[in-house]
Amino acid sequence: MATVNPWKRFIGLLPGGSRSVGEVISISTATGTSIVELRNGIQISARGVDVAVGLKAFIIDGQITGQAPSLPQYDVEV
Amino acid sequence: MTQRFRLTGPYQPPVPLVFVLRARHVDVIYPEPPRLSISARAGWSGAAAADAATVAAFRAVPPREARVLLSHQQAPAQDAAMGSAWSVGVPTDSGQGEAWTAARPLSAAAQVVLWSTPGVRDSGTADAWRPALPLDQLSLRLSWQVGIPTDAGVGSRHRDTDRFGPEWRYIEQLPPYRPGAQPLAFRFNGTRYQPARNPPVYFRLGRSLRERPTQPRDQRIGIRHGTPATLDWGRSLPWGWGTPADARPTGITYPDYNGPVIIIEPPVEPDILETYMIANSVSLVVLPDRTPVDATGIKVSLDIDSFSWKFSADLFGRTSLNLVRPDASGPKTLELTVNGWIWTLMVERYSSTAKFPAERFSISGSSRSQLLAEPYAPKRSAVNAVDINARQVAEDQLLFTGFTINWDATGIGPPDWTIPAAALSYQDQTAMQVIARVAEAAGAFLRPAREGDSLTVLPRYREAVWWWSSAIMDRIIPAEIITDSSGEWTPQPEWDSVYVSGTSHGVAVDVRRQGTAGNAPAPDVFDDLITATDAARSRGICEISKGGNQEIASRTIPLFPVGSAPGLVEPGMLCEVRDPGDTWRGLCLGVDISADGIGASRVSQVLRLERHHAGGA
Repeated sequence: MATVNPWKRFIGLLPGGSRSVGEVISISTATGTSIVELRNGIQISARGVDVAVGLKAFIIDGQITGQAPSLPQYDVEV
Repeated sequence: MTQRFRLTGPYQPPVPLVFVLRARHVDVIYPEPPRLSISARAGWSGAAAADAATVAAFRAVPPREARVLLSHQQAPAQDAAMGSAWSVGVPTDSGQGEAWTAARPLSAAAQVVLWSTPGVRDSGTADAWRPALPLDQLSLRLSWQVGIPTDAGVGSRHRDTDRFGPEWRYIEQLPPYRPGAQPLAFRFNGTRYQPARNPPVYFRLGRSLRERPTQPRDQRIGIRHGTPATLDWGRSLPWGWGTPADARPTGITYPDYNGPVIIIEPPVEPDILETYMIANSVSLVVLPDRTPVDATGIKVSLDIDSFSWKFSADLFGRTSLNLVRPDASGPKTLELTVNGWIWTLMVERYSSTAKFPAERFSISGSSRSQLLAEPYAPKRSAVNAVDINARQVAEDQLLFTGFTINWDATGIGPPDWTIPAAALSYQDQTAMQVIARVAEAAGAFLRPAREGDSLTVLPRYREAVWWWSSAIMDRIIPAEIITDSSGEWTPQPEWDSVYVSGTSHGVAVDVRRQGTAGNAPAPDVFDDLITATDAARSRGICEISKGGNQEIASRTIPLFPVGSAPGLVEPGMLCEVRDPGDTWRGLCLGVDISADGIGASRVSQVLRLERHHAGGA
């Protein structure tokens, strides 16, 4: 993002802050991780077993933080 | 008064009874009749409002629905349900049926004319329709009664017989009786009249006052009632002015477009001259008494991600420093005027360095919008209990602060949208943080006012980057006025779609650039306040526009006075830069204004422009 604001530039350099929502495919209690399928079909392994299989989960920096609701989906062309 | 007489001997009244009373000897006392006093009592009852608990004269107005405010491509038919303001005229003779009687044959054998002329049944040519009655006629009624005097017919109970004549006085008719030292003595036929102890006859001397005209003595009857007070004078409707869906009606109807027509003033073409001579005028005064401050090296700057103007200046002498130093009443407010552009600024910091043989003083501060943020504003925590509009959130935060917000939701945006209950929650945040968060959710930014207490919410990209080539610019920067230029390459991947989603509430919208496959998505955006597709669309445009090959170009131009183009370029404005042989368009990200020198200052503004090198920009 183009900006001339020093603070915005600085926090743009900081790591983390990635947020996404995915559907839990499987849970491995032995490792404490869950296999989560992201919106674009890619599967990742996220830490946390709190969300049941088949439900959506918030993933912040690779950590499942909670269950996510199913929101109505729209497509918009701009 | 009754006078008793005693008679010597039996009194034989002559027949007929004749008394000869000589008025010369008769001293009669006539008392002053009691003054006629009129106790007029005001009998007006207080004018009571007929219906103080008004029934508004208007029907209940439904609150403005935020979802109505749609953006370009989703504009609904404007008030399609309005219909006409006239009721359907009722046909007065609905049973008219056919207007003609059945033709009846004159003669079956007739060869020429088989049918007689049909008779007109309703040859009367009156209109068949009543005049249509307007449905929305203003049925104004006064909501208070006119005070009606309750005893209008009372008047006075006595009859004035000589109201307007000269005042009748009893003492003018007869001299008052002045009793002498001698007892009253009557003489009848030369005989002194001696009244008896228990006389069978009493004389009553006096005069009938029946002819005395009755006159009002004290006509001081004032009217005790005035105009009844309007009970609901200060009552106002709880709804603000409705915002027209069409920002400024043009009267032009577009056959294939029924959305809002947004009029953006085209930029003023700057004058191209061989030589520009600008007599810069810079003044810095302390409000409110407008004491001038002796300053130099004044710098004012703002960028698109800041919510207040920054300011710094160097001062001459300790006298000026003492004028602007904060005291018990808080920080001092300065007014800076540069070529007619006015800023209102707070002095937050000052410094002085004493080093032989000179002293240096400098101050710095920010615009008054800083009062909405730390450390001035209180931190608050809340969650919205009911549905609320995004603009209402901003207005809510500015309540009792004296600041106002400008949010043209129907014009250049960003759109207004509904935030459902419990979707907006914040903890320990200042008003500015909350407003900035709401604005950022829709891809907007805050522009603080230079003077006055107001904030403006504007879309960061008024037009998407790939539409810049056909967009209306705000400013035109010709090469003739550019003194310095530089650039910084800040590339980003080229994106063509973005997934914008709410988290606990709201919608998830896949915003895709028209005409692309959408296979180069920008990082997903999860924002608590994406609760409507309008907001998601506006945010999506902003996110996609951030991508692509781009540079931050700096151009230094003079600050022209107010009224001559291009004037002051503020962050968020779209500018067309006409470099020699290369005309391009960019978004102003920041502006630094500096006024150097003493007396005749050199004033310049440095623009930071976001220039995209793809997509036709």
